[in-house]
Amino acid sequence: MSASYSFYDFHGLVGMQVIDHERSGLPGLDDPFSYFHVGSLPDIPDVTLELGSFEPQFADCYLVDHKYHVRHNYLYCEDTWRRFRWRVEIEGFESGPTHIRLDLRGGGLRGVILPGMYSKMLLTRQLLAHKLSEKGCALAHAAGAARNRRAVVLFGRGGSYKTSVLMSLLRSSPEWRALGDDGVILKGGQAWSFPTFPAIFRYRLSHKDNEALTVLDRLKMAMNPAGDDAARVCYASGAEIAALVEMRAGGVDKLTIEEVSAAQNVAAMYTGMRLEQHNSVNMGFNDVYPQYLEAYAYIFPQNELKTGEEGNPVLSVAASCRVSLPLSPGRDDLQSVSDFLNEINDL
Amino acid sequence: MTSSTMSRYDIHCFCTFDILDRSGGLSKALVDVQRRYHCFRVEHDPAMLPDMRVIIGGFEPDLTGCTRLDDVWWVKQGYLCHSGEQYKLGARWAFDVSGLDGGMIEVRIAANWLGRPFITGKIMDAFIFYLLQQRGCSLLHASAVAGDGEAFVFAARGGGGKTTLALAAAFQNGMAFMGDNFVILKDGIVYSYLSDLNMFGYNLHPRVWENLTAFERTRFRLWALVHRLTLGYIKVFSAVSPLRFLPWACDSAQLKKLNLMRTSDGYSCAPLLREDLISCMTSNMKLEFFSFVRHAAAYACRFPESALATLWETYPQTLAANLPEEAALQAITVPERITDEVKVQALAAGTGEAA
Repeated sequence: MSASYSFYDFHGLVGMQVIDHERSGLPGLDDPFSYFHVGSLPDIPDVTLELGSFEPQFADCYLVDHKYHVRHNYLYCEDTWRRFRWRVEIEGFESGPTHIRLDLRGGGLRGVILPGMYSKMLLTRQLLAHKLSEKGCALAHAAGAARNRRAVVLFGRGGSYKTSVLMSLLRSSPEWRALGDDGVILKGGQAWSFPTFPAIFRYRLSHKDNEALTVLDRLKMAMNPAGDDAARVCYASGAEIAALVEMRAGGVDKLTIEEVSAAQNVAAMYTGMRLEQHNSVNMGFNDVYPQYLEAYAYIFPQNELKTGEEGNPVLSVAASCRVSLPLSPGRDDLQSVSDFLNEINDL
Repeated sequence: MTSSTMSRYDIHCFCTFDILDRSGGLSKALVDVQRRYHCFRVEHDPAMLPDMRVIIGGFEPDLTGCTRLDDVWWVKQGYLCHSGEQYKLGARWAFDVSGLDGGMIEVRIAANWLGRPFITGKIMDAFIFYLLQQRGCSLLHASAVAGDGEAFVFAARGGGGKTTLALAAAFQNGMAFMGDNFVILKDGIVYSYLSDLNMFGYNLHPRVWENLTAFERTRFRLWALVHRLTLGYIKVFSAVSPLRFLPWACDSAQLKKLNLMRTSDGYSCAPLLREDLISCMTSNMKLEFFSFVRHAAAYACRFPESALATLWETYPQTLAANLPEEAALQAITVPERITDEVKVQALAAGTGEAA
């Protein structure tokens, strides 16, 4: 059986290679990073993800919690999350090019239909975030859109209506280009797109007002993974950060918009990203990677994996504010936020 | 028959807490939550408010004015509600806590009967840890023994030999037992934390086995069988009170040696840098209370300066303040299966005079 090779180039910042030895799922939907798909990479990939069964080489390891086999720059374990179970071996865990071998099983029906998607969701995002931070970039857990090369970045926890506001913004004018609904790459004062699951995003934008996808929606997407061409989303390549906006849901009776200092908002965004490592609403596999980091740190306390504040790149933003929405906002609330963001972007 | 009982616990006068279990009789019979802390039990005095109150049973969360995070947490000033956590086999629990900004902490926990065995380890112990941390005490995930007023601590991750070495030191070397899973360190003094021993096949000392009743032995064998049949998926520790066969417990002693245990192929022992030890102890504690790392990160999204949000930054600082300069610090590596020979070596290194 021959393996399939695919390459991903994240704006020339980070390169990734996926080697799939056995399975393919539904095209389009199966690949959260399809937007970054390229024919080849100019350099050695920063991350190599090898899917399929493998023989781990975990001799001379420390054993933590009966489970994690750790030696310098290396981790192997057998693990479970919900109904998924997997074996994973990570070489280059701490530094250098990272090679992950992953054999993911189980997961019920989801695991049968979309094995590649879940394999790519398990650790990849966190590793990409780590590789990006080594290059001075932050992979923000945020939604974003740009117009006239000026971007608004909306960060907030799951359920804070980031996506809803983004959709509303994209519909308000064809000039708006999406940066991503779950991730945006930030460096200095610039933002780059990080679209994940573009097929789902396109489908939502053209057919849905809310975030909930029914079984029928999922079936429709599976039938037409390329998405509705008429509503094809263009992604902005790079833009200056015009506004950094914190989104909150609850705690207020009506829509409230207040100014916050840029430093405070940047700190709040990093705090949210720390929680995102533990509890990712869109990517799942909660607490998996942070536990690997901690098990590694128990054996190698002096490691290069910067998990605290010292690993956060310095950012500069022109304006910053906080938008608090009631728990069930009306359509007019989302419209008002969208109007406000249009205004800010024009300043 | 009373439907609920309030009981009071006092941890070395550092902090007090009440437990009120409103669960049904069958749940109580299956998992006795209060039993875990019976070594700290004191006379209940309704006139004295405790530092924390834990109420087990269904509750109505107080969500007015809360910010919602990820659809699972609800947060406002001093208040955090986690609407549900799933664990293996459909075990579920939820909790809320108020009083995080000062005053008495009140924790309310609801769990289904499968989730019930986990609420002590995953929620109650974590809040006791939080409370002790507020009092400037460092809770260590470690076992400890004492001799001549000097304490020797063995910190390790699960299966690292904490219980094995503490029991061996107590039974073979006649040292006083101070705890097999947690101990408290405050200003250079180690305080005991006697909770039920968590026994499993690999750490069962023959002296413990002799002391078990026929019923307990059957139960122990049954859980070992379940563990084997489910290929290790279900692992239930048998709780045994240490006071039954270890009457020579010690309340407090000066920290002499802190040993960090790691598991690998062979035995070795080497001195350990102070900063490295503190960092490893913090990782150890985080892994032990990993869901609490997540809850603290959630609360931090709204109240980044609060004590709960900064818990994992203050832990190493408090530990550094409590760890005396003169204490010997070393890393002991043991094989996965701790043989009698390794036990003797590790005890000699861990409790002996030579550093």
